[in-house]
Amino acid sequence: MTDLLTVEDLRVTFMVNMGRDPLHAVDGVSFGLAEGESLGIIGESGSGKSTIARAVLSLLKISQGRITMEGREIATPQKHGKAGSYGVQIIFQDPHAALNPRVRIIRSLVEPLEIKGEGTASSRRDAALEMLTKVGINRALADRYPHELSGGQKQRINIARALLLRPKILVADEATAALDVSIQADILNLYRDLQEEFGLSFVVITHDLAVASYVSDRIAVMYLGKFAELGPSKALATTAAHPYTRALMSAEPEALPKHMQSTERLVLRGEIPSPVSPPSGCRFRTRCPIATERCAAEAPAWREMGPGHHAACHYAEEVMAGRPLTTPEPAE
Amino acid sequence: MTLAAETPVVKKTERAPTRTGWLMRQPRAVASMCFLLFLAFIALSAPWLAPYDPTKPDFGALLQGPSAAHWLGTDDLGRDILSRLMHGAGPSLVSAFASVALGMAIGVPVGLLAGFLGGWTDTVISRVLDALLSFPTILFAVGIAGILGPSMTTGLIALGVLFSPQFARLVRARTLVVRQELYVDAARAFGASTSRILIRHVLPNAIQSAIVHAGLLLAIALLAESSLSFLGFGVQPPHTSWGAMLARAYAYMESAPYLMFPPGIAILLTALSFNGLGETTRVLLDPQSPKA
Ligand SMILES: Nc1ncnc2c1ncn2[C@@H]1O[C@H](COP(=O)(O)OP(=O)(O)O)[C@@H](O)[C@H]1O
Ligand code: SF4
Ligand SMILES: [Mg+2]
Repeated sequence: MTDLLTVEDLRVTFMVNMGRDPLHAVDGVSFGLAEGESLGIIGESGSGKSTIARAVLSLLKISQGRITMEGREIATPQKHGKAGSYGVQIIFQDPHAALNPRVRIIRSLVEPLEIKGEGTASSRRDAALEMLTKVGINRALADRYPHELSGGQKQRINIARALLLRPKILVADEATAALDVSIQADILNLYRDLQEEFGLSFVVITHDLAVASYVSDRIAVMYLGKFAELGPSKALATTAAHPYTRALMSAEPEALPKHMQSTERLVLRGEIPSPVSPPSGCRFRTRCPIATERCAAEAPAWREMGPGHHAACHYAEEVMAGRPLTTPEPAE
Repeated sequence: MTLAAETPVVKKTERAPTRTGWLMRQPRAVASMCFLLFLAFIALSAPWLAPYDPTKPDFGALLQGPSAAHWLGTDDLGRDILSRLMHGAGPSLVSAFASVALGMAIGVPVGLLAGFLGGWTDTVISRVLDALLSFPTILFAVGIAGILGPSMTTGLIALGVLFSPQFARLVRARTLVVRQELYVDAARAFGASTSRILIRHVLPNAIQSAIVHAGLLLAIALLAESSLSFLGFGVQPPHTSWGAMLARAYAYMESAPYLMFPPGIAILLTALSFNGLGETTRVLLDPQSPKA
């Protein structure tokens, strides 16, 4: 299977603290995305998910690595492609903030087509109205302003706008996080419908395991700028090879589909460390219940654990085999 | 597609009537608009409406108080104050609008670029703005007059240039916020060019405070015109403006105090009207502000 999108050893570094300290927001991430496939990226806030999304969209300059689309190079540290020109579109987390408050819905919708110089003013309007229907929005709302619509409606508008450019890949960056649960489900179902109708590939970024497992064929688990594990959703649920994945799974078992539920209860200690000075060796070691000295000394390699299943843990085999991950009781 | 359409949330009835209806319920805005329209009418029809020739001296009627023949009295050359007030409206309004328009024409794009581009562009522009802002107005006008020669045009160019950093600062400050907005990233993501982003997305969201400020500066321009006239950068005699009349009235403050009132009150009322309209315009342009 040839990949539509490939990301090779992506690194994105921001200079922080008045330009003194480098912050490696994404620190060596590789993945591919096949046509019609849906990849979930999960991880706590600050782990670098949005930065991956922005890199893939050419909304920022990458520091290292290479991104290609259909074999064409779209981003290297030296240059990046023109956003919107190569078939990748994005849906942001905040549906309201993504729409210019002073512009009527219909004008927001036709703008991408206008930029591409597609059709006439009236054909663009027709296309926009038709797309509104497809995403389940009444055409009567086209002449309204964003603040007159609900969050769910606004997110559908954002989806409609992204789809009008007929992308091959839609990146959804926490696109349902700001919505009510019932509306979340509607939007997720909309993704599935769109996937069928347009043959879209999805990158679904979320901190919500339930969302990722509902829509994704494969899931990548991200921690402090790196992937901890990447594999088929099923494999991650049944035979997770990284303690962090197991911890995430056990943290919200009720959120998972039946086949992915585990009975283990594992609570992660502490906070995610600062990405400006990540721990030596394995980045997860400060919170890992089974960390050893080796973990501090040596960064774990990205190893293949099964078909299409990779993880970065020295003890991945044991974790896969079901080694209990006990959280020691905190000392009194 | 199996998805059911969401029922539209209808929060408001028709927009356009709401907007005009809202406007009509703002007494200050209505009064301001009526007053400015009235002024515009007076300014345009002064040649036909004014009872006397505003420039013709009458040495038999010097410095007379209000009377049946001269409703607002006469000045030190015996000229009819009412006629001069009517003829002065045009130059006063035109120079106020022109100087503020010039200030915006320079300041808004400069502020937009400084805020949006950031980095050293912003640093350089901000330094220049600070320098301009700390420059004394009169000195500046004199400097410009030295280059261009004293005239009303010189005066309004000086004012416009002096106003521009105020607009630039306001717009820059808002642009710094707006450029971080998600809709700017969204526009970039679907391929919008930088100029399109600036004009279509940043400018309309960054210009509000500048519009309100324009109302204030129009008022200030009217007043400044009087000090500029005093220095010879206003309308050149024998023609007149309110500022020139006021400047002239200072000289007779003790012998003919009534000379102050016609131009003074005209300037005051016009200034208040400009102010009232600045805020109203901002609200009208904002689709989100409640206008029910
Ligand atoms: N423009 C930026 N400048 C400096 N630091 C940034 C910038 N964008 C993101 N970061 C930092 O990079 C890290 C990853 O951020 P992000 O990709 O937004 O994470 P996530 O989407 O997973 O929450 C965070 O520590 C964040 O503070
Ligand atoms: S390498 Fe060590 S610290 Fe890292 S996840 Fe594996 S066991 Fe935990
Ligand atoms: Mg994010």
